[in-house]
Amino acid sequence: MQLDEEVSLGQFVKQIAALLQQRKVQLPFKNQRPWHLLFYELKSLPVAKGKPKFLDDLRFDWDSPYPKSQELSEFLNALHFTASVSARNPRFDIINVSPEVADRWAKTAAYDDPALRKFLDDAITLAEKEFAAAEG
Amino acid sequence: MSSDDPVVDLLRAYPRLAAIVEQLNEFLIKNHPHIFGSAATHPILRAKRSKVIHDNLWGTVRFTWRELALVDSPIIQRLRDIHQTGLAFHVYPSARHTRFEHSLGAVTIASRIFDAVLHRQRNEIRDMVKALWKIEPDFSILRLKQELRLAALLHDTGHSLYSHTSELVYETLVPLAEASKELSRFVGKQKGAGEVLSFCFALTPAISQLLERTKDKNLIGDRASDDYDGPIDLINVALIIVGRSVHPFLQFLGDIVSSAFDADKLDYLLRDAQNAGLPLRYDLDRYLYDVRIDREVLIDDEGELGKLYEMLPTPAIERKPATSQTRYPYFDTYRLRLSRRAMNVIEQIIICKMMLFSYIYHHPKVRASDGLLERLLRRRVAKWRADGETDEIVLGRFLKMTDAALQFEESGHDEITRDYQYRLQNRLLPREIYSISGPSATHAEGLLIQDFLIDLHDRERRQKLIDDLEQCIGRELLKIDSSLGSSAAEAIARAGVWVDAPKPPKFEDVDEMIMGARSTAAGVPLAQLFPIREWTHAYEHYRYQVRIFAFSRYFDDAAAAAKAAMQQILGISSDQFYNNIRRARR
Repeated sequence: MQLDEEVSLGQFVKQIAALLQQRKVQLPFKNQRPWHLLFYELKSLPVAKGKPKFLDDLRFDWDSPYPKSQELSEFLNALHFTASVSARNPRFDIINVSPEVADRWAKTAAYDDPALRKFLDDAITLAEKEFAAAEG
Repeated sequence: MSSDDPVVDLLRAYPRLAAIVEQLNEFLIKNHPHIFGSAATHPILRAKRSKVIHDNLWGTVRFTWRELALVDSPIIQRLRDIHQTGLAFHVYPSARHTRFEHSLGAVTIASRIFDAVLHRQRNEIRDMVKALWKIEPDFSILRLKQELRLAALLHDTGHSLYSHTSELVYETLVPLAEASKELSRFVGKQKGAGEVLSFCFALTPAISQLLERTKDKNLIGDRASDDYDGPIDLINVALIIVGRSVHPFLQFLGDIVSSAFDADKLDYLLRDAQNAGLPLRYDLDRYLYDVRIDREVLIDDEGELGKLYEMLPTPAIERKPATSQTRYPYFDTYRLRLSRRAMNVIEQIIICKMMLFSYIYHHPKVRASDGLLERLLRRRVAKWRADGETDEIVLGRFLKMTDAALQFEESGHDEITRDYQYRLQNRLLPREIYSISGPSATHAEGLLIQDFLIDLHDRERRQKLIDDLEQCIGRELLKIDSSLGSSAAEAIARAGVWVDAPKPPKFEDVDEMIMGARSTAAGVPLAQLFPIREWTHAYEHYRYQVRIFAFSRYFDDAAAAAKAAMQQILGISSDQFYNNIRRARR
């Protein structure tokens, strides 16, 4: 059973990506702003059971028109250059997770811990809203 | 309650930074009493108002008396013995340039950027400073230029031996790690240990007193039209070093010294390439032609920037409430930006940076040298701590050390430390036994390699993964050769084995460097105008390598042990895969 203290930023990003793709939500790639806004919102949520500990340690810089986490940027970029995800040519606007990889990542999100599961579900709802706003 | 000292007032809420400033001040006074002490005799003779220095990149350059006072002091002179590119001269014999000439070069470029902006937007800048200080704006502009130049000069004073390699070790010292968190909060962006030290050096009373004493000596020489002898604000100098300034309107000064296309980068890209003998260039004239300041917003939801600006004596500025456009509370600000017409020069700078990472900074032999030095320093720190030295004392050692320490310092009784020192002095470096990258996997093990590579970019998992793999290699090595020691850690230390997973170069900070279409709009993300991600990611996919090193003597045993360890940790069993990633030496 994975506990909220044990979930890493990378695992959480991968799970969100996999679950959103299964719901046919487009994942922005070139424009990373919605990802940063989403994680800043998640960090700002009050401490509650199920909120992963990594969010408390995630630092945001106040040097852009939006809060930006270097750590999150680095991970999103690494997802692509390690070929864990692809981005659609020629403009690279959207991330594409292959069905094989999405299944693999989504399976790891099947947490037994109900509080963590609930937090992930809430994060998915927030992400849907944030990413849809970016599209609009 | 405020004291007479603005630095004390500023750092009252930041005790870790205040403690570092105090330690640095004591360090300067104790080690150089004739220059920084209470009865200092330096400068002995009257100082020249200015001097010219010839730089191999930027030609004949004029420096002011304040800059010369610092250049002629140990705080800058020690940079003559800190190589800019660490141990890269093990691969590129002529890459012997140091932080000293780079610091002078950064002053030159910072100054040219300031002049270029002033030339184009003098009225705007005059209006801006007039709103801040009720004095003749040209006088304020000269002062800001002097503060900017001093910040560029001091920006690398936090370096210790072999530049960034030692920073990886001293950043773990508790006082610096805590001060680094404090400074990141203080200025609202992540700052490392080296920047903490440079920031704190600028705030030491020792430096301000040296500058005061120099001024009192009646300067010799003719005054130039842009000379400035009035008072300066060393708090602004310190803030510019870390990419801020005393007021949001003056944010562009921080951008000139610390941002995506700053004076630091413009100097080191060309200097590193030229000294290594690599034919890489970019068009600085075009950059200077297109650089400008642009009115934008600086958001501040957590209120840390607001707290910083409130503590400063500069006229207050309103933190505006969130709007539907900004989403968060914000300050009006002026940022350093390039126009869309500068696209060619941006491409050149990005390509230069990518190539320098591939050719120099991530060259396998450079990584081998740097990795060996890092392990040598970690062993020394562990020994000093075991001997009862506090982290403050160990920090003092790093402040004293320059590259000469590797040649002349005794290694003590630890046989492994002595071996590493001898090897570094004589270029007996470890060799790559395996080199892993995205394309090295065939379809069968593709997902496992992706998992491994991506976990190395996940902060919470990275160190554990590397430690597990190294420990496993150590255990396998002991099965092959039990004479290597009594523990896995000892076996890998003796065989010079480690897993090297460098940080890839960062490019995302260039995102907002392009001016908006209207002067009040936020910058346009570069990625919308230029295929930066496509280029850099494709490049990193092919060129980013995770390597496993070992000393030549243990090459075959380490290869067998590493293969067994990867089979266990990565779950890849295919012999073909290991043949593909193995570096052939026979």
